[in-house]
Amino acid sequence: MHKNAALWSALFVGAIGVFFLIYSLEYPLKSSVGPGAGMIPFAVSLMVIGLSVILLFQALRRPIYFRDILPKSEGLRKIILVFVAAAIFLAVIPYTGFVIASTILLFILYVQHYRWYVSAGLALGISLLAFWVFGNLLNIPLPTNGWGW
Amino acid sequence: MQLFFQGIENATTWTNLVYCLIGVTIGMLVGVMPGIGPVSGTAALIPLTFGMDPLSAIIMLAGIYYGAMYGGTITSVLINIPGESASVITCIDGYQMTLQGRGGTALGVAAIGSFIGGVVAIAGLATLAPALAKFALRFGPVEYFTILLMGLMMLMGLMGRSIVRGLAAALIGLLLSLVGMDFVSGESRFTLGLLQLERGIDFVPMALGLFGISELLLSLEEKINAAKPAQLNRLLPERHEWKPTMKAIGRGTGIGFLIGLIPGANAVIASLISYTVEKKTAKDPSRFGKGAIEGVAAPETANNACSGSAMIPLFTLGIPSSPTIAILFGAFVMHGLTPGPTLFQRNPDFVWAIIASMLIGNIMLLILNLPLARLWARVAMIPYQLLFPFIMVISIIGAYSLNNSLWDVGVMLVFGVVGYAMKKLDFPLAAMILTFVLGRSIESSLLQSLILSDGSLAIFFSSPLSSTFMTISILILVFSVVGGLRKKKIALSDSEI
Repeated sequence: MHKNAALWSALFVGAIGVFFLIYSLEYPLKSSVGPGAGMIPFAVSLMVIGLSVILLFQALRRPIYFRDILPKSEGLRKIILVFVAAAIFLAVIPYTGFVIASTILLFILYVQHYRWYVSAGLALGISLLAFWVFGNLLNIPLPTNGWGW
Repeated sequence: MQLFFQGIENATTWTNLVYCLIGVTIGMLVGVMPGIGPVSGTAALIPLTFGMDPLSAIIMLAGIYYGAMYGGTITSVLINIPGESASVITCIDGYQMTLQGRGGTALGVAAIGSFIGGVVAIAGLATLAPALAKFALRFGPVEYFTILLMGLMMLMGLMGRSIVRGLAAALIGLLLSLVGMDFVSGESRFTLGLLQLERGIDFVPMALGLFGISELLLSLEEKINAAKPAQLNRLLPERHEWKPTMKAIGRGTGIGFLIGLIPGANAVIASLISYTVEKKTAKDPSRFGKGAIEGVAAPETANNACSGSAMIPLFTLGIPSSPTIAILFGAFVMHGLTPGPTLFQRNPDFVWAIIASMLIGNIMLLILNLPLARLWARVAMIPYQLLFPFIMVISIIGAYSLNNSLWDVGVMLVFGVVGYAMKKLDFPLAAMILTFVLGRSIESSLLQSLILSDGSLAIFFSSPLSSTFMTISILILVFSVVGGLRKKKIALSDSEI
């Protein structure tokens, strides 16, 4: 059952409904002129929970297994790597600035397919180009380090 | 007419011409490249337009939208890879024509058809929109809520195979739109105590994640090997082919224009229906799938006509009918403009300049397409493993530049996972993004209606208009549920083509 992706999606939808339902009770359902700030979220959350129950029954009747929808080893590895690279990017950028963080991100993604020195060159080149175009030409204040890049 | 000429004058300033050219060129690139679509392409560039004049910004962003329709054709025809979802149908006969040495003719016919479809749609927009906007000024909150509801029901009825999943996606989009400050009561809702959520969830990182990052991830799963594009010889059809081609273009224009008016019925559906009609009306349907020129002319015309007419509900009613139009809706709001009936009243110069720029943009695209087709096709040959990290960096910059905050980059990545999961499990993304964009409007019109009626839902059946919209909404819901129970697929299956 734990391998049933449709079941997990139904539970996730239900969890969203429950979260908004409980939270909406903190706001008034009625106001002096009519419905309060909590009324619409409360009503919509109830509908979402109802739909999640239907999805749950559908998932039990016609399961969709993770193995049928997720890519096989190579594809899955590539996808996980994207998020690992993105997580590293977000973690280091406040300290290293955009250019270095972007170079690391791109290097991790390119080195899967190209030799390390080609990947390093591409990563650095694209990062510098992006910094120049967006940071200098278009004046977007990208995060920088102590040296200004 | 005077307003239209005024619009041409405003649209043909050097600045606006340059931005139009930039927009359609980026749109062509977005259409040619797999892994990035017009939604994410437009969303990524919105923050960059903040410092621009609103007119120039919308001209450029709209150019991306209809430019992508042209761009997707080139790779469909020359290398059998649809760069954009609406060009999938064109692959069927377009690539066959290329294999027969007639790729140039296919592209020529597609460009001419796209141009005609686009221009007719713009003419329709110029003719119908002012009248429709004037009519829509009579709408109160009751009519507005019911027409929004009808639009969303149409969307859910047409998209995806499960009405339950469509409703779930739509209602979750609605809930997400309510995060942040409620302008009616002044309450901060569902913020979890986080300052970043006080202003709500921004739709740009959400759209970039749902559509852009998820598409990148899906494309990573497949190996896209592009063959070298073939030589292009003759660009125009043979003499005896002109008549059937023009007939197909005529039918495609009509079908695409009408479908573009319907929320949820996007260019993919327009091109699909147009192709099916051509096949069914042809004297010899067996030609289709083997390089029938009508099989290229009709769907390409339909998808461009659809993209033009889809602007009509946006301009006149403030209802976006597709995810890309929803992004444009957001761009309007970000630049201090409210799409809807009052737009024609308060900003007629702006509206007519946009309409004029769409005409100019289509002319630019006709010129860009034909002589440079092979060059555009070479862009699609860039290995995907080289392209996608670059697209990822652009997306990150796009999300970051909205508020100069890494929070938005995080939001984009989270919604990237959500979008990927939704695509795998057949939850329609369009339902979520459209209700998200319209969420506040839906809530405020609903609340205003309930205040007027002291909480009675009967108010939604009080006027002929609102009753009509409600009845249609209920019928769509019932038919969708019944259709789902009978396991009938609403979308046309491959076997019918």
